[in-house]
Amino acid sequence: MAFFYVNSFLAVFFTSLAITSTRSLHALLYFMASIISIALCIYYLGSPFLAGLLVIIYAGAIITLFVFVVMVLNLKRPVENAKPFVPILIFSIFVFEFLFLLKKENFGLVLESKISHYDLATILFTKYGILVEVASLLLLAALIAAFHLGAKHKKRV
Amino acid sequence: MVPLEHVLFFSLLLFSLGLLGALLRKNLLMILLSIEIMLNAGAFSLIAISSYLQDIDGLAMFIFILVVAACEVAVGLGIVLKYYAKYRTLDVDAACELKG
Repeated sequence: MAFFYVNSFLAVFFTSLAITSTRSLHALLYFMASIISIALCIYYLGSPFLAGLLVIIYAGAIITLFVFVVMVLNLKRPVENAKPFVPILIFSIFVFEFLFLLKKENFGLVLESKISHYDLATILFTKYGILVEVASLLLLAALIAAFHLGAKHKKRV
Repeated sequence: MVPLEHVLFFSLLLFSLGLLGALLRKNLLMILLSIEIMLNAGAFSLIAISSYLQDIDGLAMFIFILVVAACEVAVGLGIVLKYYAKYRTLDVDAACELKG
């Protein structure tokens, strides 16, 4: 139970650091730490598959896209001396939590829900089948929009 | 077991932090990031309620919210790149040509 409170506090803390940070890259990395905390909360609530999905898609794809855009934009900021205290703190807290989760007696403590992945996949492709189609259409629309926004348009005379 | 009120309060806190960031920041990229925070908080509350009711619909909706977030970021970052190419800054106040 303390596991959830510690992680929710960490998520709120990292989110507030993210929205107050003046440097975009730092804000993105704080948001990534917040995502990992939220994923650990979701793991506690009994959905380890969705926690993994959150880390893979949000931290692995979306934030990486943000970081890529920040690096492409090449915003000019003064270079400061790195302050390694907060990153080391974040890293050690997460390492401690992962070690906590890896202990065998903590497995049963964390997983409280009994919803299986099989049920999730079944409901996704039977009851929500039409919604999956709509989601794929939305992805196609986003793809076309991203291509259109990224393309170089010739100026009309 | 954590009471549902605490989980929902956590989700509300995250959402209001995202809202605060979207309202206060002037950087276009940070506004997009704050919108992501709000989406994430909403998705988390879905998972919390789904776990509380032992119901699977919320988990399915979470996957669709991930899809929507990915689409939003793809289009939003395209717009950010266009904005920077036009104004050479990410300050949202630079785009004030529409004033009456």
